[in-house]
Amino acid sequence: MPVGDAFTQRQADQIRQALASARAETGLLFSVYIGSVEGEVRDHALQLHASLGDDAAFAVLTLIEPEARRVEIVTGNIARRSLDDRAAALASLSMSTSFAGGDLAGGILNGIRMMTQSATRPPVAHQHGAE
Amino acid sequence: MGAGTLVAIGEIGDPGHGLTWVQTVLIYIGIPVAAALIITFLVYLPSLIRGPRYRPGRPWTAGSVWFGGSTEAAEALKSVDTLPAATTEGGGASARW
Repeated sequence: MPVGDAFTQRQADQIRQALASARAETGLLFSVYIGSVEGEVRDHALQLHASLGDDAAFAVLTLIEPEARRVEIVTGNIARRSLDDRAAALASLSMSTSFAGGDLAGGILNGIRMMTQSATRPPVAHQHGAE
Repeated sequence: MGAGTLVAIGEIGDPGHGLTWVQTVLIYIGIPVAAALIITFLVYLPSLIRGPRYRPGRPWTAGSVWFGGSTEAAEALKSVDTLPAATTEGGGASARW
């Protein structure tokens, strides 16, 4: 399986595992793209998100541009309800801090973990119509 | 008695023939070079095992990878003409480092 040259097999496995458990816990479709991008980074991230087709609404795409040193998180309109922009900003900030120190895999893993925690809803204490 | 003392300090006996030039080269050049190579290998071994490391500011040569997405990102992008509402009405965040 092609991994690119940026990650060891072990790191790639860890990232895949983190993505899989993030999906299982939140019901959202997490994915991470790392690579050089031509043109505007945000536009590219939006197009990549759109290319997920029917899954886009539930998708959380993280695009990492190591050369331009940019992180972009794109959430679909339904995914945004559980992972709001504030939580995404917090995760992107945490990731960029790790990347600045040269730790790509660690930053990605940490970012996924943060987004998973934010998107996992706390147990509802009060529900309408429960009584 | 005097002869025994001489033997002990090694001043008698057959000195043997000298080293051939091949032996000389092996001992004085071959062994140091081999030692240097082994030390160099041991120094670089950890980074060889760890694999390439990302350094901010250096050009990115590692290509691209999309974990959890399609294996052919370029192909997937071709299918996008306009951004659907699922994307435009979504949100997200950006950061730089």
